[in-house]
This record gives sequence, structure tokens and C-alpha cells, in this order.
Amino acid sequence: MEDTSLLDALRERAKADPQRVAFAEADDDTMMDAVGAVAAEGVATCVLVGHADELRAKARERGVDESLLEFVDLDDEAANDDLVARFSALPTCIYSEKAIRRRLKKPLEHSLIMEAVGDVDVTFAGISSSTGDVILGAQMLIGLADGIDTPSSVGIFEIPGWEGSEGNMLGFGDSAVCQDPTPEQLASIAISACDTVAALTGWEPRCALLSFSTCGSGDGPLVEKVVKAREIANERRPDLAIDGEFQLDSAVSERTASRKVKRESAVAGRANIVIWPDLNVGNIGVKLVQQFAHADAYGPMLQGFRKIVCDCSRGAGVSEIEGNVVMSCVRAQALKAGE
Amino acid sequence: MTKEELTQKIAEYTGVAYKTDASAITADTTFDDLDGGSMNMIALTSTIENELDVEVTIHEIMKMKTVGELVDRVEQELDE
Repeated sequence: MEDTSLLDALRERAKADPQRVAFAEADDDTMMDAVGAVAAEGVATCVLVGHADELRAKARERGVDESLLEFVDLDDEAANDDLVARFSALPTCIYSEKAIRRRLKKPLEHSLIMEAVGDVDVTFAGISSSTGDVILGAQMLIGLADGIDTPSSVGIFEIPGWEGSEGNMLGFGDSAVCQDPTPEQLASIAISACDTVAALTGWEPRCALLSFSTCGSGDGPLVEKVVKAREIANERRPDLAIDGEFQLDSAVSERTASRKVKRESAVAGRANIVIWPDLNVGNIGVKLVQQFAHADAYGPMLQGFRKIVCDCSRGAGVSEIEGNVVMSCVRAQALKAGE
Repeated sequence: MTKEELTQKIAEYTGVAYKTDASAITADTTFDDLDGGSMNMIALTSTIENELDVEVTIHEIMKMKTVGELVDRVEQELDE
């Protein structure tokens, strides 16, 4: 990800109200370097979860100022007793005390339990955990947000030379998680994407559910799925402008929309978020935009959970991790503001 | 606990987790038949862990075809 004005603005927002971020993989050199950068900048309060002695040694080895960090030791029995009591009291907790204690031995799951009870605002992992493990852990311990049926991902394109309703930027989802969404899941992806993109950009979301058909120009099960998703999304979140089914050009080009969409729509021709109908389209769509339009993309960011969970790519460098932390913290701020 | 009793218990847990009639679930029932998602698997594995103190991961269940395979996996750990 490039350091652009959006990220600069987000960084200032993150610094204005630093969130508490649990790092479950600070035993990794790159992650510790990123923690050092985040802490020194004042972007977030860094809470390192693992074997505290080893983490302190790693911080010293990497030249990170320990006084800027908090350490949570997996073997701190008093703290674990307290966490078990508070986590098991949550109505969303599905585990027995013994099962919770089993999970507290693992840094990622310990971090997620801390987040569930409100000790931290974000859980950050991905450099040594698989995306599947991060998603499953979040589903088990944080849970899905109300009215959301699936985890998913969202990103924001910056497309040189393109002029849409938000300049050269466009939100998109899901390109990474949900392979073949049901109508309920597709609606969930759209709702989550609206909330995530609004939190990061301040835009009023106008979200288009994409298809090969515009307003019934085509038919069949693929179209019916998208139409059903729109109906579910509108019913679940009538406050959001989510519309479709639209072809891509009907969604983002006012000229095309004026010819193809013969009904009132707050979204057609002016969409600032597009939702792919499945992961085939999502993956290919992102690569088309990146390859042929030389676009950069922020994300993909995980979404759909009750709280913010971030999964960076395994090959992420320090600046990419720092950018992911910044975006996660701004999302956490927005989540709190909306509670 | 006999194998039959364990199978009946796992069928009950599976019925609750997948919100379906447990009496129709047998060792031959496939997870494809149950048509659930990861949240159903999480509900099932957490119940097994809470009730029988056997930790079966979602990754393991994703590789299993039938409820009978899950029963075998739980039985193996209970016997150890």
C-alpha cells in the first residue's frame, strides 16, 4: 500500500484517540519492528500478548523502547482467572471455563478473549497465523456483528485517471473471504462494507450489488441471488443506500445509468462501493483493476465481526503493518462512537 | 460410554448446532447433508469440548465426511 493522503489523514485520526491493539505475534522480528514504529508514532497503545520474558527480550533485540509497550503474559494466573470470569459472563461466550483456559494459552486466542471483554480494541495478527485461523478465532471468540451472516473483506481502490463519485477512489468487497455467498451472506457483505468504508472515509455509502444484469436486463439464478440480496440488505438496514442488481458501468457511470436504470436509485451511476457477486468475480475484478488501471488498493480488511480484527498478509513489511494498524484503529474509534 | 451412546450424544449436539432434527442424524449422515457453515461447526465443536472435554478443531471437522468419523475421533480421545 502506498502512503497517500487518505492514510495520512487516517494516521492523524488514529493518533488523536489512540486505541489499544493486542499484537499476538510480536515474537516475529518484522511484527516487533512494526510495533516499535506504531508505538513511537503514538498511533496506538501496543499490548504484546505471549510469553512476556521472551517478548521483552525480543523488544530489546530489535531496539524497541519497552517503556512504550504493555506486556500480557500467557502464564499470569491471576490475570487469567479474571479474564475467565469476565469472558464466561458474556452472553456471547459459548465455552466452559476449562475450554476458555485452554484458549488462553495461545496468543491469538488470548488476544481475542481480551478484546471480547474490552481490554483491547483491536486484535492484530496474520504474519504467522493463517487467514483461516484468524477468521475462525474471531468467529469463535468475538462473534459476528448483529445482522451479519458471514465474515468478509473490503478494500478501497485508488485508480489513477479514473473519476468517480469520490474522485479516483472506490470501495469494493468481498475479494478474499466468502467464496460463493448466499443472498443473506451477500447482503451481509454489502452492509459490512458500507459500515467499514464509512468509518474510514466519512463517505455516505452508496453501495451497488454487481451482476451481469441491470434491473432485469438478464435473468436466471445468478441475477435472482443478487436481487434477493438487495431485498435482504434493504430490510436489515433501511438506513443504508444499497441497490442493484447493476452491471459495473451502470453502478459507477452516470451516463450509463441514465440509459439503463429507469427507476429511482440513490446508487445507480454514483456508487462509491461495489459488491462482487462471488469470489471468482472479486478476485479477478481486483486483479483487472490493478493490472490494467495500475490501481493501488487499501486492504483487504476483515469485517463482519462484533469488534475489529485485523489479518495482515504473511509477507507484510513494517509500513504495510503500520498502515493496517492505523486503519484498524480508526475503525475501532468509529465502532465505539456508534455504540 | 458405549459407542452407541456416544453416537447418540454427538447426534444430539449436531442437531442443536445445525438446527435440525437430531433423530434423523446417524453415523452415516454427511456434513454436506447438514448444509451448514463455519458457525455451525463452531457450535458443534464447542459443545463437544464443553460436554466431553474433547477438543476437535474446525480444521479437523472440515476434513471429515460423516458424523461417524467425528464419533470415531471423539471416541479415540476418550479412550486415551
